[in-house]
Amino acid sequence: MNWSPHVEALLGAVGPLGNREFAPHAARWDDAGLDAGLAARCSEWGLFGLSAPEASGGAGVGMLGTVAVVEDIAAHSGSLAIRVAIHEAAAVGLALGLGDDELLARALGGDGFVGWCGASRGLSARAESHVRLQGAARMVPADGDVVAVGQGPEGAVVGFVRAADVGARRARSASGLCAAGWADLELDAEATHAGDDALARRLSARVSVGVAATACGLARAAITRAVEYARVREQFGQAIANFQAIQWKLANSATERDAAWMLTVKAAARLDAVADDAADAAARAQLAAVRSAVAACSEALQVHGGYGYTREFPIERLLRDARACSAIDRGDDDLRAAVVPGIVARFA
Amino acid sequence: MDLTLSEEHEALVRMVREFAVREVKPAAAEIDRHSRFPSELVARMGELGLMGIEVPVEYGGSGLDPIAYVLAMEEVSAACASTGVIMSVNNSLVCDPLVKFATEAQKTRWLEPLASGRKLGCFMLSEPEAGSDAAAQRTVAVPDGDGWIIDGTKNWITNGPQADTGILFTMTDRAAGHRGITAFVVDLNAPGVTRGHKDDKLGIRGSHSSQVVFEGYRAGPEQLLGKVGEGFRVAMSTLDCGRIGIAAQALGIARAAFETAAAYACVRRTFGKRVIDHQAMGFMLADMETELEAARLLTLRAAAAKMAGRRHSRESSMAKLYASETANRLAKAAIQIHGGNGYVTEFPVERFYRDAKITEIYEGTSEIQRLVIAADLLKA
Repeated sequence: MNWSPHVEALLGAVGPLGNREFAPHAARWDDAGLDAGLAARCSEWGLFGLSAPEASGGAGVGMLGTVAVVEDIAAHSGSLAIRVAIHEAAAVGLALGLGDDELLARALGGDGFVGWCGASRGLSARAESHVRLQGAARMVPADGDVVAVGQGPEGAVVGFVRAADVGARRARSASGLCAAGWADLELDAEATHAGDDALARRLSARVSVGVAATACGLARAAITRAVEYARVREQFGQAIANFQAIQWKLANSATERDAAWMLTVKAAARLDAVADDAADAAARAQLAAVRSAVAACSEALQVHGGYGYTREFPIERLLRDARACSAIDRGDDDLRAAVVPGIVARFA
Repeated sequence: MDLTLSEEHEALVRMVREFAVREVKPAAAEIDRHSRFPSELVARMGELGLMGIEVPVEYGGSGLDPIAYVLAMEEVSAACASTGVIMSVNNSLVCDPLVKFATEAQKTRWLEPLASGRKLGCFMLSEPEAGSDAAAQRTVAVPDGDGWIIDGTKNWITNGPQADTGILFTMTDRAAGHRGITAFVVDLNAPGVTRGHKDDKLGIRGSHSSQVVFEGYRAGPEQLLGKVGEGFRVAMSTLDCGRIGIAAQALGIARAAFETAAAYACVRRTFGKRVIDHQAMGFMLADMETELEAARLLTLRAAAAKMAGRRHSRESSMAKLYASETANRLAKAAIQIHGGNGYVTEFPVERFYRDAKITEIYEGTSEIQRLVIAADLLKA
């Protein structure tokens, strides 16, 4: 199965950025956070608005093209990939969903990476003349504006929260995610959308697919590193790649990763087709992708032995990034819970 | 990356599903119980064009593509895995190498009756001492005049008791290892061929396998398939494609297990609620559906790679490995969801469990698939 010529061309343009612009900085970004001004450069590189129509200044490759690009970035830097993925899923997705040209222009402009705060982390909201958000959320990016989804009395509330309005952000984790809290945050009603469950579901599905693509890229990087290391590392007088115990790990990781990648591609295609089953497909993709990424990175660490545990090699970073993917928005059990109603609807 | 099916594919699925649900599924339990070879279903598959799906129309086939083959295999196997493998062997292990390696004269003589379903084929590579290690062949073909005299015993030959025609692998130069293997197409009703008793198996009991013994069997020069010493290439290229068929068979079994378990969990009540409403059970089904869908996509990817004419060893092995292990996990989970009812023959899930196991063994065990995948990953 091949990408469309349009996506191929985009990947051809983005591909060289990996080794030149992302990989050399990946460890530092992991350690100290993304460089100031990186969002602006991402905008220049055309990494914002991948799923927006060309007429609006986007790349017009839909979520299918988005997952292709995000997977490629993640193979070099998970920290950057997850920010690009969520910016595209949440900020561009919200602008497209509301038909809000001003918000779209802002999302494409590169002022900063927009984060995502899904409903499942205890955020509450209610719709009045203006919208009030109450509560706190975990795993919100340490800076920038946030697209927030809350559950109000009339259904889901989707809002765009300016960085200045986000309350205290605390306890920044190694992967650049932190807890954020706010109480009785009043939002301009025009910047929010109340009662649109379909929009909230769609944004959540876009985020899932973006996280899944990130996880697939991390898994690919881990497998590539493990293969390279197994070829050159010698034990018992021969390359460890000659041992079936090592070959098994590589084969299992690659198969599980490809399976998850196919689910991710399928879910992106269903989102582009605005299909009814897109949300379920996205949840399955994230479930499989994060699981396979954690397993692949863990096995890659094992292939590296003690070296894998040190910061001399990137494997421990890949493993931390993969694990973080299961904490963004929805964890494994949230995703399973999201899939069950679809099964009941078909078989009850 | 286009993952949507064409209208032609959708129409094929409808046709095969109707056949599978109306004719195959109602017979499956009885076929299994009596270890009965379903001749009537094989004849019907011939009529429906399912015995030579990818064979060009001029040679009696349906002229469809590898994706069509995968879709049809899934439907038939979801109804009855025994019937599925009878179809799979004829399609991918017999018709496929004939399409690829046979001369025009061979295609006219051998391929047309197989593809149209008038005759049944088998693939004879395994031996009592040579399963995964195909180069350990002991069956020998010795030049005799312009032809060959063949002696040896082939093992686990699916369709062996019924087949009219077979693809046979022999050693023509033992010292040359796998470069000494030569393939023939043989008439199994000719003198010099005897068949052993059908194997008594754990599952796929409606598909019969047996030893096929060659004693002084004479093959003419026109029966040579490919060139002398090229047999290993014929076998491996055939298995690259065959594995897609077994992946699709496993997919069918996995689907049957998931659908049966999901339907049961939505009806059966324990502790005052439906089984699926218990989190442990609901989550199990969510995982099952995720793996099922992934197995389907890997299988379709392998079929698409074959269709594009690319080398597809890795894709085929990944599809076969993942789908067969998924079928086993899902069949096991389906029994668990059924509780005691899953363990008795009144319900079909114990049959899925027994049928699923073979997909991890034949046409390359899971271990062989991992070797193929790892070798591909590690090649410089």
